[in-house]
Amino acid sequence: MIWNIIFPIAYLTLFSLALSKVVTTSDVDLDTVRIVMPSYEANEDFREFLDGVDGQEISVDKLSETNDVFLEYVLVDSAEKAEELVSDKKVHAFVEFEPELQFTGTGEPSVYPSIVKQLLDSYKGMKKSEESIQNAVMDGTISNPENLMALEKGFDPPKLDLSKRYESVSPDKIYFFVSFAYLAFFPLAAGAQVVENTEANQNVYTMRKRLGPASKLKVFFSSLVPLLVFQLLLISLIYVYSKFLGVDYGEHHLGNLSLGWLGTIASMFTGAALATYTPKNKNFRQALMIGVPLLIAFLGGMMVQNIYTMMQEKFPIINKISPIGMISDGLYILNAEGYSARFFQKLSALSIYLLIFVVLTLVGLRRKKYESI
Amino acid sequence: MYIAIFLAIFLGNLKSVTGETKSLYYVEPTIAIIDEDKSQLSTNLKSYLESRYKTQEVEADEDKIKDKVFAKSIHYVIRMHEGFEESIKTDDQKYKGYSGSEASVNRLIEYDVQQYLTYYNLYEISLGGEIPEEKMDWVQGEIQNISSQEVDGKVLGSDENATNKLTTMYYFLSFLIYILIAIGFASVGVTIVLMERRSVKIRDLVSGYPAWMRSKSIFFSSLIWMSLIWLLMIIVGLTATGFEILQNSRALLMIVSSFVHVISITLIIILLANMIQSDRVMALASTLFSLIVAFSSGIFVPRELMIKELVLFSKIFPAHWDINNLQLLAFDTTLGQAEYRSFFVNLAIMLLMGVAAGILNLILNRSRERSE
Repeated sequence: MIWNIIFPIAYLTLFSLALSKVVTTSDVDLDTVRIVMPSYEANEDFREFLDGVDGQEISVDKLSETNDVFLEYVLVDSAEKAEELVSDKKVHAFVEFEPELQFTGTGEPSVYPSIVKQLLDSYKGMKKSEESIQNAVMDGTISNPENLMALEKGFDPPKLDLSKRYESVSPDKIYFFVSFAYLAFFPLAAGAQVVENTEANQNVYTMRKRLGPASKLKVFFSSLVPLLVFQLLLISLIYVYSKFLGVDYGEHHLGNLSLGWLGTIASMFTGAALATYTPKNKNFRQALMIGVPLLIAFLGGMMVQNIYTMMQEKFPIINKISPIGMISDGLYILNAEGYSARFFQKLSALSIYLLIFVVLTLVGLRRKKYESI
Repeated sequence: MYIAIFLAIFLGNLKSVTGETKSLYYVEPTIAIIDEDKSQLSTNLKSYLESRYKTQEVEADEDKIKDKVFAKSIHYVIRMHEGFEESIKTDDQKYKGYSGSEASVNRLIEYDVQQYLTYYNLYEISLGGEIPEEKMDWVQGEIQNISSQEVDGKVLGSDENATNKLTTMYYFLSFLIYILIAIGFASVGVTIVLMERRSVKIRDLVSGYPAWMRSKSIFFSSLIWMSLIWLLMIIVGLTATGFEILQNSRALLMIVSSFVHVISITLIIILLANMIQSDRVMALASTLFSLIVAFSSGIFVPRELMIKELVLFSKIFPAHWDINNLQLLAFDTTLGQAEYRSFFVNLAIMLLMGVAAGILNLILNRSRERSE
């Protein structure tokens, strides 16, 4: 029993500590992009371009300082010095102009090479556009060069209205949604224990109890109810504790808790059904009760976020039918839409899952004949 | 059963990392474009973006769009409503974007869209305020040409192909740490707990079988079992990188570090099994311990994104030092004396942890024998 309390609390504490920066940072706070160039190659035109995109030149000794600019560039005397700065990770890229514009970085996974590439691509594009307009004037495609005077007076291209962007619920929250779902679905063993306390052929103490006049269903429910109440209180405590740790499931607490409660009840009846149909093989049952929720949680994205993306693209049915998938999807929908029709669909799906395992458990318990007691 | 489940998890993880490693890690977002305007600008913008990004079809349904973005199947959806072209220079643009929360990815895509709008406007002005129909193809071609200007990037001092494979190897060897700990607790740990039960142990000892020989057999059989699991997973992982990676000295060193970790963690599991003495708790500990190590050591989440105290805490696990070595060998561009020193120091720390666990185990066994 004590383990049922320790495990979720310990797991959640560590999980939240490990991922707190992932969710709160969400790469909004990008570090300044830093590049190095050989001073004998960097032309005035390129430096003006960099200055125009909120860049500034700094010296090598200022590289360790933090500044609130998009880009900083350093000029050095030699390629070797530049490579050393890249190797020491003091800059994100070494930009060269000869024989052609190119850049070098480390192989470490990072978003900065993409940013540097886009910057250099747009510089190269800008030079190309100047060439294109010049050629168009010379070959007559632009027949009225006076139009270009309008550009010199002032060029005000349309700007995309970024306020019209809807930003989704952070995909990083999938870690927390799935981990809560995993913890809600954790007490399979509690459900199995209820059946062990009911079936005479699973436990010597139960064998003695079953000699008494109480009906099997009465014994089953009298064993189930206290454990169920305990587990429901525990998942509620886990929810409150995770909020205390700073996990943000949104403001629909009752909805979130309903998913947790339903998931816990479903878990107990899943464990009970498993125990009913595997009376002899306790080790196999234990392996299933530990391994299967872990596998389902893994497929839901608890450990590696890309797995969730992969499953949604290739096998979306798995997260749709798995109870952990249903709970985490429900949490996401509540976060994104509130008490929408889709949320109630998820609750209904989870209820159907629960109903199936209740029926399986009760059918399995009924009219069982033992070879001997 | 455990091995089958964890092999499935391992294969799933391998599949997810194999497609992604590149010589320089470029973000390659997937986008979707919904053009309800069907104007000259929207059609050309759509065709331009389709030539630059991986695109996916998506229904013009808000819920479905949001689900895809949340699942990261699509990083950005651009929806151009009817009247987009007329409204682009007004305050009420008939446009909506749907994005994830990765600012860097959003910035890349929005910058590109803005670039297109800028060049389109540039040609509009150059051609007298409006692009004639007969010159539309030329303008589109010029914008495509301008935007297709690409600058090459490369990795410092390394062979591109080898760097890809080393990165894949890093991912699967780091994930292997988690797998081995979980399987180790569930198989080796539980078995030792059962064997150390008084009713079982006393039968062995009463036969005259020396206690030290028994302990030695338990240790070696545990190590052989863990090594076999490790070897199986390594072979599976090498199918992703190709076996020719073994010709690369960095890859071999990564495997050496991984094996030293196996030795260390086996000794620690044996110690914990002797301390815990409950098979049920041991089975549950496999889940908890493996997840604690995996999250705190930087296997599931990069260390740069974790709080410093947690990284400090993870130093008590051999996994932390193994990850240090794997990162050093996979990502450091130069391997000089200093790097080799770090490598051997990390190996030594892992071995010391294992030896310390072994000694503590001997002391524990001895004190138990004396009390009996």
